[in-house]
Order: sequence, then C-alpha cells, then structure tokens
Amino acid sequence: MTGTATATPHPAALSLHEVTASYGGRTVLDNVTVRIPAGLLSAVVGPNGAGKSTLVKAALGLVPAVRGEVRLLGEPLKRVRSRVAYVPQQDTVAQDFPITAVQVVEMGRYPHRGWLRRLTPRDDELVAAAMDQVGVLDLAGQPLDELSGGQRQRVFLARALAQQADLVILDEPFTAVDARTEAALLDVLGELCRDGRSVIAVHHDLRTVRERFDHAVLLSGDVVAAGPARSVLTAENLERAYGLAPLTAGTA
Amino acid sequence: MIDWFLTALPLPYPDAVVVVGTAVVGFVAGALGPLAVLRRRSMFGDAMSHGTLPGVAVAFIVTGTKAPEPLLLGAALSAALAAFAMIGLERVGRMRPDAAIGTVLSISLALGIVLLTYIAGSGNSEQSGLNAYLLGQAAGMVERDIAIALLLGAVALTVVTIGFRVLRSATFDPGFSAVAGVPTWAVDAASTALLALAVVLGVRTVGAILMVALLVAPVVAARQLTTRLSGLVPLSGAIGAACGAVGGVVSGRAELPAGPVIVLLATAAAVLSVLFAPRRGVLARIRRRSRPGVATR
Repeated sequence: MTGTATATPHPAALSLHEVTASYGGRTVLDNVTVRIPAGLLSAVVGPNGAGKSTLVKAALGLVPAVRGEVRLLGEPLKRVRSRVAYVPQQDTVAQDFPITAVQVVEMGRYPHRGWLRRLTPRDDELVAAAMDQVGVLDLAGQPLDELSGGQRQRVFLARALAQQADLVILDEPFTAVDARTEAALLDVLGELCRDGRSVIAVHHDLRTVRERFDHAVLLSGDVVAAGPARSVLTAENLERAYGLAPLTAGTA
Repeated sequence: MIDWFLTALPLPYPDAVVVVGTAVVGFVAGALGPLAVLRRRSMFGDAMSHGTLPGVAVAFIVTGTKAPEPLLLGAALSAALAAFAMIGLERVGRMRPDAAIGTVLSISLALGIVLLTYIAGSGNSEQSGLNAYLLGQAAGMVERDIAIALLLGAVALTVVTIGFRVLRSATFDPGFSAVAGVPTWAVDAASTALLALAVVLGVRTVGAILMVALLVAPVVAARQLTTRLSGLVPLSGAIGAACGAVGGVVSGRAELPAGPVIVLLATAAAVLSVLFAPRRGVLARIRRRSRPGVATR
C-alpha cells in the first residue's frame, strides 16, 4: 500500500483499521486499513465490485458483519452522529415518496434537534441558507418526485449543509446529474473543505477525481493506493486496480 | 357515548352500527396503509392477513365462542407468527422475499380453510358465520366491535402521530436515518406491528383474502391528491372510511359479502384518482406534456 503519511495535527476524517465487511454473504472488504485525512475533498475510487460503497457503509455502520475498528473524526460513530452527514446513493432513497424539497432538507436538523421536537426558527434559517447555497430555495415547496436528477441531488446536498456536519460522506453523488450541477456541487464541496470540514465521495469518474479532488483512495477489494489524488491515479496503480483485478479475483 | 352517537345518526340502528364500525375499520386501514405501500411491504401485509385465518380457527376451537376478543387475539398471534415465518425464511433460509411471502400466504390459507371446514363439520351450533373471516361480513357488527376498533385504532394512530418524523425519515431514506441514530430495526418492528393491527381489525369485515386491498387502494387514491405524507395519512384514512361505510351498508342490503363490495369501491376510488387527479393524474400529465416549458417527470 502506497499511503503517504501526512503529518496532520487533526484526527483523520475517517480511519479504518483491519476492517473486514461482507455484503450479501460475500466478503467485499478484506482486512482493509486506510486513513483519510481531515479537511480535504477525498474520493473513493475503483472498479465495480471493488467495495467502494461497502467501505463507506461499513464506516457508517450500515453494513453488519464488520470486523475491525472504524473511527470518524477520531471517534466511534455513535459519538459523532450529528457531526457526520450521509448522502446515500439515489436508488436507496424511496423515489416516489410524498415529501417536499424543504422537508428533505429539514431532516438535516433532526440529528441536532431530536426526532420528537419541533424545529426552531434558527433551524429554519439554516435550512433556507443551505437551500440558497445550492440554488434550490425557489423549489422548497416542490414535491421531490417532480424534480430533475440534478435538482434532487442539490436538495440532498442542502440537507448535508443544513446539518452543518464536520464530515460529509456521499455515495455516487453525481449519477443522473447534469454536468453543470456536478460542477456546482463540487464547488460547494470544495468550499466546505476550505472551511476545515471534510468531504469523502464514492466516485467513479477518474477525470473529475484527478481535476477536482485533493485526496483519493483506490480500491480493489483491498487498498491499491491512497494519497494525493494525482499521485494515486497513476497508470501503474490503475492497471493494478482495473486491469488485473477482474482476472485474478473474479470480482468484476 | 357510542350509543348516543349511533342513535343520533339518521339511520336504522343496525345500519348505524355497520356504518360506524366499517368506517372506523376503513379509516385505520387507510391511515396505516402507507406503512405497507411506501415501505414496499404490500404483499407482506397480504400474507399477514391470510396468516390470521389459522389463528381465528384455533381460537374458536379452544374457546368455543365467537366473542370478538379471543378471535382477534388468535388472529393477531397467528399474523405475528406469519410475519416471523417470512422474516425467518428470508434471513435464515436465504429465501427471496417474494418466495417467502408466497410460501407463508398459501400455507396460511390452506391451513385456515382446513380448520374452518373442520369446524363447520363439527356440528357446533356457534360456528355459523366463521366463514366471514374469508370474504368478510359487515352485518352483525355490534357496539362492542366498534369500541374495540376505536380503542386499538386510537392506539395505532397515536403511535403514528408521535413517531411520525421517525417513520417518515426511516421509510424515505433508511441510510441517512440509520446514520443519524434511528434504530431501523425498531422502526421495522413497529411498522409491522401496526400493519398487523390494521389487518386484524379489518379481517372480519373485509375478509382475509381481500384485506390487503383496503390497505393499498386508499393509499393509491390519496397519493395522487397530495404531495406530503402528513396529507396522505389522513386522506387515505378518510377514503378507507368512506369505502368501508358505503360498502358495509350496500353489502348488507344486497346480501353480498362485505369484503368484495368494499374492495371494489376502494379500487374504483384508486382508478378514478389515478386518471383524474388534478395535478398528478394521468390526464393532467398528458395535458402538461403538451404544454412545453413546464417541468414534467
């Protein structure tokens, strides 16, 4: 593993120590150890079946049967739930659910306010500011299932912003999203990192990773490489991850 | 209180009992139906409703009476058993959900029919009318049925109201909710229990075979008319109540089983709503598509 030891004073945004996770009866992550530094826009990349989604799901406690140790912002998940925002893959969200855009964004305040209490005027301000920041404030009252893919993803990012999380984890955030929205969302994510927050996105478009991300973890069942995005996405590493893995491991 | 209300209605007393009783049952089913439809558990609810049959029969064999309480309890226990059987087949037996549902549904129906036929041949004079649990019967409802339905319905709707935000979030986006600290297993268990309650309350009126339609059709009808869950739940309940009340009286007068009549009404409401709902209906969408510049999907 070619991890570059960055001597940051902060705890890592995410660290996994000897984590094994299986999904649907198959071991997808086998004894993975990786550390993603805080304050950076980081990508988790790799071929299909490499365990990208499983890695973030294991980190977030969404995949059972996990062995090993996970730390988010230096702590176990249960101590930092309100500080971690999760934007799941679109197909795990009920697509035809009766809910409006603003109601989705309000969910970002529940971890702070509790699940039974009313939101405060301060919450409403944060919700409106978040929607404004990603350009969906005028869609607040719209039913979610009448929005385009790009508009929907802006709404979900607004939810993460309204949560004011220190770590935002996104799973394939740019599928079914137009290029203009992708660029705009990446700008917002970059701003978060400049504020000292951390962003980790599962992503498959290597070109955007090279151009827009600070840090990358290249997976293929195991960690092939981790470090500054450009130094990870070398021809040699990519061949190890994409070229040979399907033949040797049979995990296409 | 119930008595006063029933005599105040401009209907003959037996009709009043049926109208109010079926309306309450229909409201509870319609209001809890989103727990089945939005969670993609409609067929699971169908299997649970078939699962009530063996319990009803066993409860009758054990107690020898048709008093509503023991039969409801038997129905509830056996619906819960059906639910556990399906979850067990999926998790432990590694069966696909549709296969697990199909297995439990058909076994429950088979067992129920065998037991009910045995009871019918046993010469127990109390047994006539047990067949209502197959296709439903609204006539013969008594005030005590209304009281039980009101009590259990109030408990269920209170749980839904208090836990509304949790139920909505966990159903809409289970991943986000789990990370935010919602115990999703508890939400699953609570939804299944509430669904079982709706089924058990409705099964005598609508019948085990068609009960699922009273959970699903009002939701389909109401979904076209609202864009928020907080609107869907009461509207679906109201549609369920209306279909229950009208169907209950009509079936009694026409000497038809109540289940099919109520279900046909609810289905008609769903079809009308899908076609003609002002904003989301098929016609409205077609009209919108012919007008450019308006977001459609």
